[in-house]
Amino acid sequence: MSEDIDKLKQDYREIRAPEHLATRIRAEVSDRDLPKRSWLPALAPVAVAVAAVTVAPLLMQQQPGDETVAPKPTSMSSLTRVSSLKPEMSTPSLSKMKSVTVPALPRKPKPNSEETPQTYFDIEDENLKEKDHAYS
Amino acid sequence: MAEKSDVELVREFKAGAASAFDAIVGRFQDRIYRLACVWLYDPQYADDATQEVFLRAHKGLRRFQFRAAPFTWLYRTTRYVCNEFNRRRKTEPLDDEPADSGNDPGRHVAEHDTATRIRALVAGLPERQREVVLLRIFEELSVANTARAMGCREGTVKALLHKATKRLRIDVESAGLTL
Repeated sequence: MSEDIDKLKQDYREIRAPEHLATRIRAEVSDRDLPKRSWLPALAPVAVAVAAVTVAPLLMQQQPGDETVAPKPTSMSSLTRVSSLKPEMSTPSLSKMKSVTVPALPRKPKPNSEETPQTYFDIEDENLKEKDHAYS
Repeated sequence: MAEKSDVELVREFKAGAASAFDAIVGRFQDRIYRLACVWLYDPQYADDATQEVFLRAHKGLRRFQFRAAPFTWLYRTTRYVCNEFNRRRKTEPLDDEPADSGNDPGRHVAEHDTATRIRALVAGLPERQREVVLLRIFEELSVANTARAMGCREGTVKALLHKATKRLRIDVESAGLTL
């Protein structure tokens, strides 16, 4: 290698980084190492909204006597199960039903001429009698 | 006590030792800074570029697979960062002031001058030859490591080096610079 190039190389290798550079790099690196939590305040309303959306329906379902909750429709399978169940009491047969004694009705009072109230027919008879008398 | 190797330092850093990263910065900052001075159109931004390289290293070396030497990884990152800086400078003027030059501005200016002179000489070379000169001649990497850093074969490095040296010698002589 020529002397000129050697001299050039020597000059090149004499170039040194400024003394403060290492300190600057160290400071910048430690700054970047710190966890950035600037997004935390922005997260708070989002967390509240998410909580409201998830918890509110659960709270509404647990309120007693809430009429807005529709009753669960009865499934067909459960209905068939119900119809197949036998009642605990045996149903009476028709012949037995005929022989059932019914308590007697209270007796009719005996007709009394003086105290008998005028019926509709009696009144009509009287009217006819009056008319007959008028034409006679 | 024997000095730890580059690989050992990176291993310790991966294991979580913060002091290992400080040691990595201490060991490589001059080399990265020099490379940035030559790769950047404006060496004034070499501080910023070097800082950016180490910030990326702090993140990237945690996933380092040891398939290459740590400096190879840092060199590739430096090239990438410097290209980004140069692209930004081409498309949009950098309005932010370059970083403070530290306690000794006089020395800093002199180094910038040297960097600018070297850059002027090396800039005349095609990009691949420039890379070979920087890595093989200036940084004294082995042919194998230079090839790994450039992503090519060792034979290519040798061929590029031969052409680059020849041309650089002519350029230095014709420039008549007192180096």
